[in-house]
Amino acid sequence: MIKKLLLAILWISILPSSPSYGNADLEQLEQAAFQNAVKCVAPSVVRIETIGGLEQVQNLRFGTGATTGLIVTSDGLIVSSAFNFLNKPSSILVQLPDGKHKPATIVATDNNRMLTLLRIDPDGPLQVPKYSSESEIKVGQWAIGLGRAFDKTTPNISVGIVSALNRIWGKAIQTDAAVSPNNYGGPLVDIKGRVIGLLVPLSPQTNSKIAGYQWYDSGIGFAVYAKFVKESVERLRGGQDLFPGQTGIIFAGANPATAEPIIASCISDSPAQKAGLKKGDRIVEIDGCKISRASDVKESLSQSYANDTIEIVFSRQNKLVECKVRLGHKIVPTTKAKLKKSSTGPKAD
Amino acid sequence: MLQRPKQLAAFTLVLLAILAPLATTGVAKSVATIYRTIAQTQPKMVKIYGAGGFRGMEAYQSGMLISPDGHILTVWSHVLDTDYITATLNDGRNFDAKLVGADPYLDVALLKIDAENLPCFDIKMTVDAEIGERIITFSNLFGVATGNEPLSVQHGIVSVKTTLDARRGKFKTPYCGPIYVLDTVTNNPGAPGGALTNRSGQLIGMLGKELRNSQNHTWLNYAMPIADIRKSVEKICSGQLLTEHDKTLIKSKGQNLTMSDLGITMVPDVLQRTPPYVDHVQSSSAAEKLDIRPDDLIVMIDDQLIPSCKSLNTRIGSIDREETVRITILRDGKLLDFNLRTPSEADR
Repeated sequence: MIKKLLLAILWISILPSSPSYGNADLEQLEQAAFQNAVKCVAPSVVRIETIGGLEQVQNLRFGTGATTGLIVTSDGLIVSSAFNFLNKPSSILVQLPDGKHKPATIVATDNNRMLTLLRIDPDGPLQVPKYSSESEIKVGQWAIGLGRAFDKTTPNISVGIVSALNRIWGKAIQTDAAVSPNNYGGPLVDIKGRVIGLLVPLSPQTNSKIAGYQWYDSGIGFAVYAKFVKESVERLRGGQDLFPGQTGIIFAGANPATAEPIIASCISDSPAQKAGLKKGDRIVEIDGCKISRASDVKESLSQSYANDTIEIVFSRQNKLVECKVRLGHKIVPTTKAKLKKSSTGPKAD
Repeated sequence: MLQRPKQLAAFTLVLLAILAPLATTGVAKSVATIYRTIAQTQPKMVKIYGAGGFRGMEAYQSGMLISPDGHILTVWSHVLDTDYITATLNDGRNFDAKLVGADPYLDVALLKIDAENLPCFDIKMTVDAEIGERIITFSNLFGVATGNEPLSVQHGIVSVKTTLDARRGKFKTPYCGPIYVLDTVTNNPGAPGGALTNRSGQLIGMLGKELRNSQNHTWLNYAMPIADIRKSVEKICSGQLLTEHDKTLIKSKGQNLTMSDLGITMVPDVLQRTPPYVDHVQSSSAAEKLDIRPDDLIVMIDDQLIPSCKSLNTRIGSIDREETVRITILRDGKLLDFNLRTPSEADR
């Protein structure tokens, strides 16, 4: 009995040190894990160089330095950040991880998720990355950003954690790893080297094309979810540029996070007006998602593009009504609306 | 007989109680390492005060002791451009520092204070860092630390090891050599001259001057490997002047090459970044013999990207007339390589 007990105690006392990592320096192991993760995904990360183009876009000086892209199909589709091509370069070269240069053409740009799809004609099949499943991504987990802005052979890396999920109206993961023009267009990967998102400058406040650049290297960085990147690639490969979908609905109140989803007005001739939505309608559901605040509408719409048709359920005089709205690209208040306004003017006189 | 196993069991339990906390994980060990590293490194760091203090030019920077008798390694900058340099040690003692010498080519300066038995780095014992390696930096960013306050410590990893190439005008600094790019924001006023160490406190590099990456206009967070500036330091220490520094890198030997030497006329440079298209190829020139054609786009020279006509001229101008250049051309969606050489007088 006692012998058995002793053996058990001895066994227990050995146990904590028996796994291989028990006594090793945790930081050393983490470091090795970062390096392995980089090794896994690096063959899918390419260097992009551009020729010609503007020197300045919206007061922002554009350099001539290399940027980054991620191989998404083995036959030569590469996705990158739209930011990298805002200066409209006249020619684009892609340098593959094996050092070979290939001329590239822009297939199309997603102006909602700020992604640009490029095509090259490779000599053989390219290595596509592994993706992490969205449900596995947790705030606090390691996140590693990769770029190829500095060196032709070695990717530049930055390490941080996932700071938040569902940022920028549900489009992006937030990270505190350094994100800048040095890795815009590169992947954000987990500790196993699986892609969780694509690094792009984004800002929740504005839709300006350079929005989010001001936060470079600040510990506030964004990566568009891998699932959205894949979805965008499928749509972009047809060659049509994608634009955010607009309804023409205006809500009352300055803060959409607190405002009720009650329509204050619909812009004349806008998709919403054409679908029959009116002032005073309360939006209840969009594409099956419950809406309780004006900001929910924005988040729900951020998943859709111009020319997509969405289903809106709204309540009017305590009755639920369903309608279909075909989203527009640019909603401009028409002269008709202006005339209406001025026609009410003289009456008041 | 029965007593002994019981004693043994009791002894094992006591042993277990003592060992368990030590054996549990590596976390305790890692944390202990960084605390020890910081405690041992801070006394080797120096706050340096000198000229400046106006028009955004701060009058302070960082430095590190590299000899027990008061040699301080730092960057060569406007701060040292005065007869009154003060070095404040970690314990708060102030010393007048003398400039022993500087290597403006590497942006390295050596100061000396009158003191003895100081804790210091041994610059002969520096180590290399690998990409992805965890690092710590020590610097007096924004002059936050004064008196006996220790310098600010930051952590991060080595993002990449690359080369600052002054010749191509990529980065506006005289230093051209390997650098460590870091993923933490070390590019701050007052930080130049700070130390880059690994987690166990071995010296890897020195934080360089504040610098923008002219490739994309972002601030560059970097450090120069000590291994590369050691020679400069040794020369300064031995009293050698460094005016005879290896200038071959920046000075071309003979006459510079021009596009017309090769028989190529480019399109007029009228835009901010005119794409470098070939406008005309002279008959019976080197270019014509290789079948370079009008409307060919020159995209690379010697594997270096040529983003515009301006950079083509700069790049070509840095090549010696006697050298063979490899021109990569984009024609009909294909990349073509040509090796061009200026025909010698005899050929003509």
